[in-house]
Amino acid sequence: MTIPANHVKKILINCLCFPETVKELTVSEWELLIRCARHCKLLAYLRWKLDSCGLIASVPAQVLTHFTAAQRIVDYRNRLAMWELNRIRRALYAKDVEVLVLKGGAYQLLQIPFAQSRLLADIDILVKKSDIHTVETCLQQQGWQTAKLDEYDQQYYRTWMHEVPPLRHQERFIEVDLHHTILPLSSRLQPSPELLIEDSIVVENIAYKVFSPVDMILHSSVHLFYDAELNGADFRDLVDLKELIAYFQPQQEFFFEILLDRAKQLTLQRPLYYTLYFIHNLLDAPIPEEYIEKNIGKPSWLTRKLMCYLVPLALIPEHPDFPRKKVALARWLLYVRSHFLRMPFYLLIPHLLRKSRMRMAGKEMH
Amino acid sequence: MSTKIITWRVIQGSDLLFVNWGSEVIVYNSLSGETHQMDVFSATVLEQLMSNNYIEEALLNDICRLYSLDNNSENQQLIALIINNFDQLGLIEPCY
Amino acid sequence: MKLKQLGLGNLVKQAASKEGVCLDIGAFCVRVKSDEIIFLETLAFLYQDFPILPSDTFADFHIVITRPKGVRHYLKPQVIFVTDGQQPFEPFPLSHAFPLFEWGLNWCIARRSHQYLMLHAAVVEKNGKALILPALPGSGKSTLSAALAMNGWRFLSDEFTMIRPQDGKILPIPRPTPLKNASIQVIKGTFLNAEMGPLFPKTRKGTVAHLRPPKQSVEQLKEAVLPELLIFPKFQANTEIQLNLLNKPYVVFKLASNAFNYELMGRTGFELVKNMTSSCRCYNLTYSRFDQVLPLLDDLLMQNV
Repeated sequence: MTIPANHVKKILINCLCFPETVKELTVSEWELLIRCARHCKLLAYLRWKLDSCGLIASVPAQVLTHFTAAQRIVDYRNRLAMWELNRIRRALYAKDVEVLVLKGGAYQLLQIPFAQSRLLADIDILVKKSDIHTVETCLQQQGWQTAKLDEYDQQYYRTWMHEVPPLRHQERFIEVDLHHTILPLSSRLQPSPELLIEDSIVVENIAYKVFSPVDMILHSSVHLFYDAELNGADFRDLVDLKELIAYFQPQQEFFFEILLDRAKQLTLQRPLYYTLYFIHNLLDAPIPEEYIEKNIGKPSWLTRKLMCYLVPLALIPEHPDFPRKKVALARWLLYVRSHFLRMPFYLLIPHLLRKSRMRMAGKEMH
Repeated sequence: MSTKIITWRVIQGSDLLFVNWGSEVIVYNSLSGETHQMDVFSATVLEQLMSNNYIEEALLNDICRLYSLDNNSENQQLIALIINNFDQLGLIEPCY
Repeated sequence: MKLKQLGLGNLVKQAASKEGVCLDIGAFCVRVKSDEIIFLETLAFLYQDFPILPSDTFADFHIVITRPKGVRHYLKPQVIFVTDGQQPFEPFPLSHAFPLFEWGLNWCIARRSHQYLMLHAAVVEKNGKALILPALPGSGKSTLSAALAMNGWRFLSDEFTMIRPQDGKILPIPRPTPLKNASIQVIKGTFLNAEMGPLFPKTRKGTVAHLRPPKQSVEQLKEAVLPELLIFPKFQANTEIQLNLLNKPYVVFKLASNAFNYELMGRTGFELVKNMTSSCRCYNLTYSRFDQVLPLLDDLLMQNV
């Protein structure tokens, strides 16, 4: 008898990394795979992966209906996002501001193939700090509303965060996060937003800009390893990173050298180290060892041991019927870590206490 | 307010699907996902905008010429109103 | 094999096993796991004609009906609905396990089944033509569809009209109909052959009892059918029956707001609604009495267009 958790890990990782293996799945394994992939928001991605490997014919008919349904949700969210970007651009028509689209919205604008199967949660845009007030006010005057936050959260956003409180248009269902830098102001890492904006590129025919390919990868890495809580819901961010590198690497000579140089310039070597290490070790991405081993962002032996134990445990989705205690513990530790990285110690303790009180009161915000 | 003259185009990245049921026309905007109902004349104006980008004045001229209407202030106001409505609904947008 | 043939003893055993019971409800296969006899008894009665599939069949939904952890339930027994490790609702009193299952299954279907356009509508069929009854507050669609089902129409669903984009056909999910309050007695009193499950008092919709779907309808649970009539019913006591032809653009908007997933389906949703509106005859119907409305709907269906 196989251990359920290992079984999940095996079929999910195998199907994502070695799609050929779907040919050997039993009906029960398909069922488990679909449940897990749905849970970690990778169901449409899995379909895309199998489709792009010419394996759709190996998928049972009933499984296909789940793929279709998942793809419809993704298409819908992507459409909402594109529509929202259209409306934002219209609202800012008379204003002379440069707007960058980040993360999922950017992958969508660039029409990176895997983005058509990526479930998009909200829209992230970035403007210069000097423009943020103009943009926020302009949107508020045209129907976008700031999420209702209590005073503590308002204060927290304004003082420590890298964005203003989320905005949502009163008639629509997608949140807009308006940033002026990519990490909280209290974070231990402070990549320069000026450098990122300087290197940004214009998307053809669209009045938006996006980060350069290497910056996109670095941003996604920072987000995953320095801002996210690293639980099962973040697993797909690691898949994003694998796909981004797979897409951009062949387009540029000396890609890894450029990526590493840029990481150094932006002081983001550590998150890049984790990205390269984990996409290589967990998702079998073909990253030459030298770029991992020689990376100056490589953490100390102890940190490495800890992260190599905790991250896979926390990040890889659980068997839906058999959750494990050690996974819950790993997730809790990484949750605390994520907050520790986001803010200095004297802010962290009161903040976590407050959040745990809010959780108990059933008022979870983030 | 800037006074620059806007050139209008049908919203980009969207397909507009028309269904004509006699006096009313239904238009589906595949980008916004919204379904709109309009009279036949408005639908005609929208179709005209699908064929070409227009400033308001040129649109008025073409519509009047094609449908043998008087190029008077009443029709001018009508076109201005329709453009404003289409813009609000996200069926058309300024050329950026 | 039908659930009835499995027998309660075997059902209890199988539902408690790791694989659970795979129930074919027409458009979907549901894997049910439970150790609650009171729930399984009702399930066995109301779903008696539904096929049980081998446990290695692919199941679309996973549902566990069980007691919550902790000590509280010793004082006041409760039951929870779990799907894929998620518990989307607060616990129900143990006695209401079956309504919880039905409600949760609706929730699963509505949230996930975007391979179909889902109208919030009852649907019945006769002579290969479907009659769709969209839900509006006070429409009495469940009662009316129950009456039609007891009166020679094939029952497809009282809640979901699942339309398949490939051919515009409707897929049956002929699950038990939850009748509320006065409707229970109305159906029982009018149709002596109506079989109902236990009464569930004090649900959030008042007292509920489920009508067992006709055997014939369950036997046809794999037969999809094209829509012919779209009727927006309204129950209004003591009024003369009234039927008004609707204009098509109006129907498009009515259906768009009625569907669970019109926006989500995007262009496909629009095209399905448009095609259905074009091809169907669409009416508003005000009624108060079965002896008027049933013959009228029969006649309407028979009319050639």
